[in-house]
Amino acid sequence: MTADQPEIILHPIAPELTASKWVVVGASVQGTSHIKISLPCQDSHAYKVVNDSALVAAVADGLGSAVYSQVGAQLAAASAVAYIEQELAKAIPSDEASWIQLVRDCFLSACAQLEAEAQKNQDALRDYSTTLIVAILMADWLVTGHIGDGAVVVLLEDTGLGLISAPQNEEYVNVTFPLTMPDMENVAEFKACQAKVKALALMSDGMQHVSIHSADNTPHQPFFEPLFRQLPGVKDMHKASQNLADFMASDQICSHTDDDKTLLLIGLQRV
Amino acid sequence: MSDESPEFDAKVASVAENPEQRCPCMMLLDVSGSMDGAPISQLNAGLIAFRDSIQKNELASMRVEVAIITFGKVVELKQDFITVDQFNPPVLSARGGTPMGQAINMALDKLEERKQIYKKAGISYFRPWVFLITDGEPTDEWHTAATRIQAVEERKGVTFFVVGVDRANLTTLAQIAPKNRPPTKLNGLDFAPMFVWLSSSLGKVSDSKIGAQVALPPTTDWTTITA
Repeated sequence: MTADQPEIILHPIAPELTASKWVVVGASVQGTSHIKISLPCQDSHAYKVVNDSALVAAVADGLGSAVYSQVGAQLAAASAVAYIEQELAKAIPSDEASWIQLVRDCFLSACAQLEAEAQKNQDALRDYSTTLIVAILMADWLVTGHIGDGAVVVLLEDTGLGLISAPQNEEYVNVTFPLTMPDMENVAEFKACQAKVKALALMSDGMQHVSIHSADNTPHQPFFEPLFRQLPGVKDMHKASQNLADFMASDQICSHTDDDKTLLLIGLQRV
Repeated sequence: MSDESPEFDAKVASVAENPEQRCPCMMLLDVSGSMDGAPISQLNAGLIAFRDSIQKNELASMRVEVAIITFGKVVELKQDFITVDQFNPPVLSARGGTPMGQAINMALDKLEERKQIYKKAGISYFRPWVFLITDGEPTDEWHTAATRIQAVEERKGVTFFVVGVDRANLTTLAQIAPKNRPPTKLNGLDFAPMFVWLSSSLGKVSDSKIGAQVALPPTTDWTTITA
């Protein structure tokens, strides 16, 4: 390892994931600009299989302008997944409105966690600014929540590849909406639909630039198709995630983006 | 890789060729008669220092776009927007008055035009910078232009910096600069450190997603210290 090797964050593969029907391949990789000025990787991700019936995943991208955004991103992603897990243990929503209510409450709860952390350390809430993307996959539901940039791309059984949740930016590319902003729950987008999902990708904006056409927000098919196609054959998710991280740290990606990047690929195991 | 054939190989994914994000910087340069001699040659050297400094950062030199409007005998778009990797600084010469008002208006029109081009091409961009350098004060009607650029700055349409050189009238310039960013006084004719600061600031802005507030490097290398 040399000094300019990027920091790579891989989520541990839990036994309940291996035993489930899902495959998750994912990593967060520090951007070259962050290496240069010794900023940590401010992206974070988390995921969990809940009751063997739902897969919950979250990606958060801490804003570079916030002092503790790395903590903010970690806390937001982890607490969002924990919140959904806790609520699904009580009841599983059965219609669109109650799914949306659940994911909205999840965002409010994640923001409250950041507020508590800021208060505990006597910091301002904005010091923990981060984006947040959450996805819940059930056998026949796809639920997403999203504030800030980054995106969710889906491969559906009937309609194919599409963008399910688009990046939110103001006019300027470096200005986005954080979880910590006032009126967050009305800026964030929440969606729930009945769908047969073959594969799903959650990403922070670092990967968005290399995988989504910026002119019309459509997924770049030659990027997603080969990745999604390989998911069902993955037995060693850790090894596959390491392979993905190496790719994300390679010149092929870093010549296009110097930002931190996260990509979470979710597919179904081959039966 | 030691693996003969990994069960998952991400390298097979091919990357989307999106146009690089752009960070436009409009320089408004005073080439009035009083800039003749040492000031203009230092300014020319400063532009070269700016280019060389940005070109050290490969990604920044593809993202930062520079344009130059000079104001002196005439107001002229000396350099239309160009990414720094392609930028050859013009050699400026000085004569005439200081039609700063007209130059500011032209800069805002050009920037608006540029944003439209970005939008059409699906190019994402950062907030444009307008960097004005003068050794005097406007000799044309400037109040309208000052009101206009302050309003644009107010709604975050540009980030406007005013730098005074030598005998620049800082009192008048303070009425042109944004209220929250008063004019800065250049230390002597030492343009190079200022342009290096500009390059590293633009490099920082264009570096990645850094949010609404960008902490710029200190200006102490090139400003005069006032109590």
